Amino acid sequence: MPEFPSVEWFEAVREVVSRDGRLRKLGTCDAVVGVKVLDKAFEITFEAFDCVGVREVPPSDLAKTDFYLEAPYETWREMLENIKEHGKPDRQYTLNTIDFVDPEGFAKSDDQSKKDKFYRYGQTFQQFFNASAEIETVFAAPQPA
Amino acid sequence: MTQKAIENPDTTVTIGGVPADLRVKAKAKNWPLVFIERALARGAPPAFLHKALDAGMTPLQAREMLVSSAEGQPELSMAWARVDTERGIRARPGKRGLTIDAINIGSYADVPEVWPDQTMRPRGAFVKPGAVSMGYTIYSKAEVWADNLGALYEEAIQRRWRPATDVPWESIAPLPEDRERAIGQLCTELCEYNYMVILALGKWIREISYGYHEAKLFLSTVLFDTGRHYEAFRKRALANGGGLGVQGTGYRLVPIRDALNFSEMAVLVFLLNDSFVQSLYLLGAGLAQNEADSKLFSLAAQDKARHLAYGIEHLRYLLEHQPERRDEMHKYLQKGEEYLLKDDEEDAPMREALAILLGGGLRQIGQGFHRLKDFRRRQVLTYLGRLDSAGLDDHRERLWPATAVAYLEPAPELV
Repeated sequence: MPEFPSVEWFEAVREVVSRDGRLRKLGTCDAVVGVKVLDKAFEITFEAFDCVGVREVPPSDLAKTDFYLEAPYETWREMLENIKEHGKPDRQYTLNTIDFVDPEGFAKSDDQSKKDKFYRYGQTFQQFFNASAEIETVFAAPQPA
Repeated sequence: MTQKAIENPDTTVTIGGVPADLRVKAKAKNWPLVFIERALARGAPPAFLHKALDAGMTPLQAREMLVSSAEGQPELSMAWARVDTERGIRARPGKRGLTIDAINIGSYADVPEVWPDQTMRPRGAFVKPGAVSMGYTIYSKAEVWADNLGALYEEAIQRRWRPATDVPWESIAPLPEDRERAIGQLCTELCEYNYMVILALGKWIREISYGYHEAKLFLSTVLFDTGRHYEAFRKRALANGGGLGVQGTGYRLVPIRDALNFSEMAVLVFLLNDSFVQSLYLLGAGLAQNEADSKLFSLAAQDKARHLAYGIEHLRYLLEHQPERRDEMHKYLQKGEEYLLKDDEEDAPMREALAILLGGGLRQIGQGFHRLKDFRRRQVLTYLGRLDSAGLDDHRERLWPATAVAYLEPAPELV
């Protein structure tokens, strides 16, 4: 069972969304998305109709992504547990809601036109995280900041 | 004719100029005999008619085939097939399929800075002398262009959605009356805005000459998107025991309606007003009380982000190619900001509706207004961020002064 957050976990989710073409139905998506959890950073690449790559990157490289998602560990855990329980998030755990209620925003970028990709391809990213309901996740113990 | 003769026709026997076997076959296939007689009289070989009958063709299909056949027809000049256009083009589909950008190859990829043709001639086709002028007024690439037009067009086609069935309307449950009324007011004003964009784009798309078909195609999808948004928010207002609210003050729509050139309209719609509307869509998604509202506003926000992506890239292209128009763009935006602020000051229904939604109900209206102040500030900062991305990074100093005072001051702490 892959541990969140890890490359193995994101790879497992990527495999789920890749095997039945569910992203294709939503249309093209071209974005490099960063994820920051605790002190770890990951880069997820979406190209055309697929998620084509996942890798761990130094946190400083998040500036090279179109935008990155950053939230306290507990927020990530609650969101993923809620998705696991229902197969998709309750309304308070959607990416858009988490982004809206956080004064700092969930999606971050220094370039607003790049950050707008979070909204432009929102259904694709939501579908990606929804796919985590189909894998078993082990949550890493939060480390002190 | 005897039964035996019908079964074993003598092909040499003709009646009225029609070989007996052909006559029998035509009768069996319900072809009018007169068609066979005329076809033979005009030189059609009996063998051709036999083949047509055997293949199950209708008389009309056979006639078209005869006409298109060179046999027995006047010599064709084929001059039209030898005009000086680039031939041998083989566009190949890529990862995204055969996209509008994928066919921009060879001379067909040449998008001139100025398009000289007033007719409907597709870019790359040979000029037909005497073709009528269509009365376009936009012949400058910089006026409409953005480098992401082709990609945005394809994206719009692929990411389209259907309000009737893609929104889980069955998930809607009754809301407290104050919140339902607030949603109704929000939807009323969103309908109004989208209707104005339909009118504005409808007017401007016809002004763009055919040299820039990517712009015409993408803007047509925006027209369709805004029509869809009008439909979707009207449906939402009428789906949960509420209804439409009060018409908005609509000041923000005046500069859009009165825009005297395309780029003026474009910065007002695709940067200023769409930025503010996108914030409202995200508010609707972020504060949704049911899955239907969450999906509806999220899908609309996807479309709106695409429109904003055009607005940013268009302004970037315009400023790169016509830098002398920088001050002009500042002025258009200032005018739009002035009217937008006037709307906010005088549109109490919308202001109060937003405060109810942000506060979580009428009882928390004080907190709602406090959050509205912060929401407005974020709206302006996000809008300025988009102008930064487009290269108009000095607009922060050119913001309509009253807008800066009203919105950029941080909300005071609640006591």
